[in-house]
Amino acid sequence: MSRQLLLLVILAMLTSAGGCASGPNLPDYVAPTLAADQASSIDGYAGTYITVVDNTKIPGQWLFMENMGGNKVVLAPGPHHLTIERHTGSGGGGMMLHNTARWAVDHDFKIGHDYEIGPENRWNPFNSTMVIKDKKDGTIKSL
Amino acid sequence: MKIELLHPIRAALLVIPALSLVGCANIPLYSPPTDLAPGQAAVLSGSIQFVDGCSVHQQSFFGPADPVTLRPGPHLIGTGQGANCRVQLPLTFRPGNNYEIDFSGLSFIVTIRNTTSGQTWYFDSVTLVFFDKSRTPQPLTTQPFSP
Repeated sequence: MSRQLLLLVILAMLTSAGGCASGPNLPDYVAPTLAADQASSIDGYAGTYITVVDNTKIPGQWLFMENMGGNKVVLAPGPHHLTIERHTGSGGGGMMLHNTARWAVDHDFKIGHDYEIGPENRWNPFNSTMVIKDKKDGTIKSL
Repeated sequence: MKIELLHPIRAALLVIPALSLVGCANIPLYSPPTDLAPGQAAVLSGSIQFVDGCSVHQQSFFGPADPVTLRPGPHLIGTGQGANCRVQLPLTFRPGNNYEIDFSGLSFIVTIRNTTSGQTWYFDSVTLVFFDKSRTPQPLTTQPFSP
């Protein structure tokens, strides 16, 4: 029985590795070397992670927390195309529900402005409305 | 008087299907264009679940599903196997062209074949990037992608 389980785990790992290998060749993202007042940044929260910026992947992004945390990416000012992932989990009594949702986001980042991205209501794992907020001028845009 | 409480698992088995039915009731049905001359529409086949947020309702247990007729131009196509595997593709369709869309849930890759031009493209549902056979991503200037 345990041998069958081990085989299943190995098969699942091979399948997932095969899936990764057949995706697009994306180079690693290189953050710009700009002074803080000349750059922009975006910060994910409540299980929101920026994984791709302009067809380049954020390196080392393989561990995701559900419902909390996120990553921060420094950007050159101007328009960017981002891929965002939100990881949520809920449940109890031995039953867990996991979900990963993804969005493609086009946004024009202003010079010297920092942004945050995540659910409209960060305490509600079922809230699927995602927003991008300019922390400097307070403007909020729904995805 | 004896009050028998519902076991939590039995309650979940009753509540979850009921909630899913409530959710389904609000999704509008896709209605294909009827005012296009023959050869002007784009035709899409494969596992299509949604067009521009409208349900296509073409679940077929025996043989392939019916093709979906589209007005040429940009559309958001929903494909996948089950609600949790749904993938949305922003695509621009050419008039008179036929397309096939297949989604492999194991590889997370959607295959888009333009059977009129003979070209095949791919969409990675993890990175949300379109790419070709050589795994080269499509330039962002060509979005929404027109296969």
